[in-house]
Amino acid sequence: MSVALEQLLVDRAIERFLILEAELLDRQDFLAWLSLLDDEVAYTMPTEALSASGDKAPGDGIVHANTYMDENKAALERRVRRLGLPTAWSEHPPTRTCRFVSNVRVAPEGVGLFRVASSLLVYRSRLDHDGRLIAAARLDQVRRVESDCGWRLRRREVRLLDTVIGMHNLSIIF
Amino acid sequence: MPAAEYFDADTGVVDARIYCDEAIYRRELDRVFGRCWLYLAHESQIPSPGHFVTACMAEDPVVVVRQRDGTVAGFLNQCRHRGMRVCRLDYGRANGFVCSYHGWGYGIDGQLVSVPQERSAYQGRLDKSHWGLIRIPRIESYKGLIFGCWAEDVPSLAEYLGSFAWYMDGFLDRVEGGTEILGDPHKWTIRCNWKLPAEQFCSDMYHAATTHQSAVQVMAADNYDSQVQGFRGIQGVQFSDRGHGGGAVEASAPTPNVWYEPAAQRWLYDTFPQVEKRLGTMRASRFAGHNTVFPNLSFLVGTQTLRVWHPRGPDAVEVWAWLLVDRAAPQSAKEGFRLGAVRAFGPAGLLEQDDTENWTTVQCGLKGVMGRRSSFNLTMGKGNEFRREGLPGALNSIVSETAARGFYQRWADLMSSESWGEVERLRCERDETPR
Repeated sequence: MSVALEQLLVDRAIERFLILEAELLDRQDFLAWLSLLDDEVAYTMPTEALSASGDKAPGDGIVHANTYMDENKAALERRVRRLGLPTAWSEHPPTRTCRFVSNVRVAPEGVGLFRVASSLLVYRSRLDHDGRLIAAARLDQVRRVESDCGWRLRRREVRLLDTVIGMHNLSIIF
Repeated sequence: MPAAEYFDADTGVVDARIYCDEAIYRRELDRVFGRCWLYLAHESQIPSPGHFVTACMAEDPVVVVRQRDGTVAGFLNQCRHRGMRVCRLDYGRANGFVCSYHGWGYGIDGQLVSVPQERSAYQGRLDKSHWGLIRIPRIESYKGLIFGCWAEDVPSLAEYLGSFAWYMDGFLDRVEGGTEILGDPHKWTIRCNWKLPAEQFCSDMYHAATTHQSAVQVMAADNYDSQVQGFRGIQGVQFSDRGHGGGAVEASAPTPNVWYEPAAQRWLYDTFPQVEKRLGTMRASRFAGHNTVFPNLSFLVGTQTLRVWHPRGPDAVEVWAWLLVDRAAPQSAKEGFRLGAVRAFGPAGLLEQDDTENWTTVQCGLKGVMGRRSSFNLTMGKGNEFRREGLPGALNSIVSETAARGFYQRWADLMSSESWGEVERLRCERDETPR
C-alpha cells in the first residue's frame, strides 16, 4: 500500500472516530463516550483574553491564562456520574444537541499518536429557551489502539473563541 | 419613587418588577450604580506605571491605569471626540491611548495630548486641556481591591464598607503579603437580572442543599452525607450591614468544602494557626462562606472566586469571575485553588452550572403578565435577628434571609433618596430602632 493511501485511510478513520464521538454525545450516551478516552486524557478549554504586546504574547494577541475546563479522566468520570443523577438540574431534562464536525486535519505526532485539528459547530437547545449555535476550534491528540473503534482520545483543547461566553453555562461536552 | 412599593421590609416581600422592568432598571443604573462604590480591579493586575486593565461600571466601559506616581486613575473608555473606545484590550501596558477612529491620543493620565492635523483642522481653536478623558472622580482601595465611584458625595470606601470590612479581611488579609489575582477571569453572560446572583451570594446558603445536590454528591465520592457535605445540617451565621451581606459556617476548626483540591486544602490547614493568631478563630476557620459587597461584587471564601455581576439590561448579567489567592501561597497551592474553582465554579463548573439554570429560568417566568405582577417571599428568619459581641452587623442563622432583606433595603433607600446624606440618615434611623 502506498504511503499516500495509508495516510488517506488514517485520515478517514480518525474523522470517523470524531463523528462516532459526536454521535455518542448527541445521544447522551456518556458512558460509551468515556470509553473512547485514554486513561491519561487531558481535556482543557482555555479562556480567551485580549492583551497588548509586551507582557505575555508577542504583538497584540490572544492570551490563554486560565481555563473554563481542566479535566483528567477522573474529573470527566465525575462529570458524567453527575449527569446520571436526576438532580443534575442543568442537564435534566437533557439539552438537545446536534454536533457538526468538519475541517479535520491529521498529522503524525509520535508512534501511534496523531495530532488532530477540527472545527466543531454545536446546535444546543435547552428547555423551551432559544436554541444556540456554538462554534469551537478543537486541537486533539488521538492514540491508535488495537481494540473496538481503533482510537482513544488522549488530549483535547477546546477553544470557544469568545472572550465573553454568550450563554448561561457550559454544561455540555465539546 | 416610593421604595416601599417594591420592597417592604415589614413584610419581607419583594415586587417581581424589580427584576424585569425597564424603567426601574434605568433608574438603578443611575441611582445605584451611578452612586455606589463599584469594584474595578485588583492592585496586583496593574503593578507599575502604564499597566492598565479595562473594566465596567455597570454598562459603562472604563480603563484603570497605574500612574507614574504610583496612584491609580480610571477613565470612561470613550474618546471625547466621537465616543469610540480608546482602549480595546482587556489589559496590558501602554504609554497612552490612541483612538482608532480619528486618532486622538491621550496620556495615561487621561489628558488629551495629540490631535491629528490639529493646526489645519482646528486652526488653534481646540483647547486640549478641556477634552481629556472623563475621569472617575473617586477611586479608593481596600486591601488590594480597587473601587471607583461616579458620585462625588459618596462616603469614603471605609465608611461605605462599614463593619463588612471585618468579614472581608478573612478573604483578603489571611496571611502576610495579602492576595493577588491568578490568571484571567471567566467571563460569561447569563440571561437574568443582576440582583438574582448578587442576592444569592449575599444571603442564600439555603439553596445549596437542593441546587447543588448532584455536584456535592459526586464530589464527596465515597463519604457523601446529605447533612454534612450536602448542606442540610449546616450550622452558621449570616451577617448584614449597609446592604452587604454574607454567611459563614461557624466552627472552631477549618471547614473545607468538598471541591477544594488537596494542595489548596493543605495551604488552608497549614496556615490556620497563623491566621487564627492574626484574625481570630471565627475568620480563620471560615473556609466556606458566601458574600456580596453591595451592589454587585461577590466572593466565596475558600473557593477564592471573586466576581462582579455587570448588569446588561434588566434581564441579563455579564459575569467577570477572577481567582484570588494568597500571594504567599506556593505555586502548587495556587494551582490547586484554580483547579478546584474551575471544576466547581464558572460556566462549566459542576456547581455553578446549576445556579445559572435557576436564574435564567426564573427570568423567563418574568415575561408573563402574571409573572410580573407577582411578588417573592424573603421572610425567612424574620424577627430572629440578633447582635453578638465580636461579630459585627445584624446576625441571624446562616439559613435565613436577613442579608437579602438588608440588600433590598439598601437598594430601596438608594432608589428613593436624592443624596447620600439621605441614604445614610435612613440607615442610621433604622440601626437605632432594630426591627
